[in-house]
Amino acid sequence: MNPPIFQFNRHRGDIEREVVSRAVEAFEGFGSARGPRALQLALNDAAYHEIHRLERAKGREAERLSGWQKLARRIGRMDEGELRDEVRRLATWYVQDVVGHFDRRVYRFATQVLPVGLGALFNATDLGGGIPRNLKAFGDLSQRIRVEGDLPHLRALAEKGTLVVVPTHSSNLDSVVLGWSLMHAGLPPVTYGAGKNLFTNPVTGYFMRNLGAYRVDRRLRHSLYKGVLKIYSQVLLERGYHSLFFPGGTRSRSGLVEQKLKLGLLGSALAGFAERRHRGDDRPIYVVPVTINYPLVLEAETLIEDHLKEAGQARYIIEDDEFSRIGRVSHFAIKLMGMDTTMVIRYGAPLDVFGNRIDEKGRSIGPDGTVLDPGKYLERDGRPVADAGRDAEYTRQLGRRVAAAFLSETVLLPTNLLGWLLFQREKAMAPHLDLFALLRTTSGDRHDRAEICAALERLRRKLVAMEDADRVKLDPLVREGAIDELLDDAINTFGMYHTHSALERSGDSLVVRDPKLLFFYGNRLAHWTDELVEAVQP
Amino acid sequence: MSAWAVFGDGAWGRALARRLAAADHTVLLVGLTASRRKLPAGVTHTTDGPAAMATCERLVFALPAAEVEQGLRALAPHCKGHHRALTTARGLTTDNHRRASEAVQALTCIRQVAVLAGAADAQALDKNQPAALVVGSPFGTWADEIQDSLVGKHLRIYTNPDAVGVELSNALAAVLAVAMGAARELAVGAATEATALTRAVAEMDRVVQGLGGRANTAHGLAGLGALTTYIFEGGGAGFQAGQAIARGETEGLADRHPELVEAATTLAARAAKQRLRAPMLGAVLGLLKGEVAASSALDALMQRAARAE
Repeated sequence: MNPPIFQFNRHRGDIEREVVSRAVEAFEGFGSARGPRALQLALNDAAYHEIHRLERAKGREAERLSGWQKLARRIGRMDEGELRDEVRRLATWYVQDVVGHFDRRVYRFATQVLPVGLGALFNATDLGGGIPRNLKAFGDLSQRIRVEGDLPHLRALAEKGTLVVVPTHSSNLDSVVLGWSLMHAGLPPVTYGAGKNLFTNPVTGYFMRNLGAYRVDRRLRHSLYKGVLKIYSQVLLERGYHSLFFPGGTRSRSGLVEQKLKLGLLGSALAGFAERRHRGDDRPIYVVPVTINYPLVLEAETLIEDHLKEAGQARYIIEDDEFSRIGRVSHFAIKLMGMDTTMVIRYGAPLDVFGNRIDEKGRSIGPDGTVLDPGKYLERDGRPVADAGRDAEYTRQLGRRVAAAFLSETVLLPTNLLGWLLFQREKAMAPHLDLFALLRTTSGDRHDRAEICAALERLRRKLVAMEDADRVKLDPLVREGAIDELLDDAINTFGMYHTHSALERSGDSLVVRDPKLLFFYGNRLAHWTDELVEAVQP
Repeated sequence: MSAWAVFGDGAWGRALARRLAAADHTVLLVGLTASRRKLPAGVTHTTDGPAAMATCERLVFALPAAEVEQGLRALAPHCKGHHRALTTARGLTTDNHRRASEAVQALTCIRQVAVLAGAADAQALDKNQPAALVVGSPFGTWADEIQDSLVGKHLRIYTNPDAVGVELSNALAAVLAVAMGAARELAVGAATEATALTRAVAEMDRVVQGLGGRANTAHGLAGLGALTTYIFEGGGAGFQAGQAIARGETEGLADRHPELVEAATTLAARAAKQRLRAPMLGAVLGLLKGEVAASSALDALMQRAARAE
């Protein structure tokens, strides 16, 4: 395996120059304007957003405000050459801020010494008496993280073309465990954009900086920055760098399987494919939906709190969650290692950039099995034609297919089933309460264990039928385990990590302790709630 | 000038082929059997669908809803990425109760799909009656191309990016026409008919939005336009079925109009799944299945709880 990212540093300067040159070219046609007017608009847009942001900033950031204010005053007086130079200067600044780095020594270190980037955390943390016993467990992560899917197929595709891995997103640990899963599955490392705030974690930040991750500053909202970012990701794809995007955009706050996807970066897969074709490069680009399925989520308590807050949706960057507290991360990882339940990373069937399936030879195939030339989608009257509106709709269609794969490739774990079931029972007991009242008032409610077992059995029967119809995936314990065992596994798992367990045993009853957590974990099944509610009726 | 293949040599297929030829396009009209009927200049009849697919990128599927899936399955191996499709089917496919554009995407590799709907039928096109149709497609360039190719002195073509809304509105109009036919036959008076029409349009809008379409699409040609066409001409399967129901001629009705029953059942089920209020749809379903008499259905609709408009 010799993926292009191993040569990244050699080409970095060249990549930066290409991104800057294409960004300047792109901004000469900004919005509906052309030429100097377009450059002026792009600069005004950047200045407006940056001044607005920096007026509220503190410290060193705030020092940059005056520069932007001066620029804003000058834009109207600049001639075409000055406008272009200014766009080039800013694009250069931003691309240098974004660009990643790849160090093969760090990669070797990560693959050989630490079976997972997670392991690094434990050298940097005082774990007290827990270290010797627990560190041993890290040596065999494959016992705790199961990697599923048609991996030989994906390995073959990685040799033929470029992979764009698009996973669900629940935790800041996703990129770390996914990186491990790629190594474990014999798949090449990928480059990916990560929130700049994540680079502040000293350990994971070190690995991210040296393993091809590029920095995304989500505070920058203007088109010039977003354009540079998109062009950078597209240039990487065009050059054959296997890539990863989280199409959900941010971690799922509610625990739901993401269905509303952000299509900007996904669109760069299609744009990269079109550009390759334009240059006579026929290497395919494969989009690989992946689901990351945790029995417990590191940041569950913060995420669900954030989801339930009225302003939660607007809080895009959380800087004070569990991921920012290294002790909490290590505590979580140790608990994860100590569980009987495994987490599952499931690689779904690959798609081309138009959402068609891929056969074993790496060719696109239609619904009837006919082999297709994906380049034909770009043609009109026998010639490739650029059509931004058409490509945007192609990307929306691809997004719908990825979202459908997220559902059918989701692996349901015992905690998901029990969380959903108990939350539905609470809802049925108090149909007059809205969600917030329900979550506020149900702590302490008791549920008869025998009734729960019977309902779980009915729920399981329905889910098995759904798995047989290829609508969802089930953990083996969910599919085949004894119901008592499934229930105990879920209860034990709930009790292992969170500050307050979601529920507790009390004689022959289960007592709800944290309804928000039940809601969060149960939401993994929420897409099918109507039919599942019907199925669990006695 | 470009090459078009029109699949389906029935009234709609012929009318559209004629319009395309009038705009100087080359048209292959594809039927299941050879045709001896006279064709306008520029239109060639053929039974060789695959050959038509090989020479034309622009495809019109002028097939009735009941035949759409079967036709698409037969053509799927010959589809390529550059093909662009326009469907004209009203209602849902009988095989899997899909919208026609849904069926194209599920059964073939074609991605660029548009739907044609509205207040004109084949007869209006043939007679050059001033009328209008709407092309629904999120693919703007393809919709514009269809618009440019079909528009004429007597035919206005509008575009709408909401293909889902256009198709759903058209399907709902065909089903709700049953209620309008029953109201007409019961001779309940203009005020009652106007009330039924207004509430039908409100219901269409609600259901369309709930099932993925956009607000107001139902108020356009595909919804209100199609429904009033049925009312003004006193025609269409739904309107006539409604009249028959009101006369008490219900024996064998469901067998004579299986596509209506299936469309009403599917739309009502989809609306119920999304918890959408659709009382007229429910009433029509009851009428078609013979579960309720027309006058009782009207009473039930009138006696619902009062609410804001």
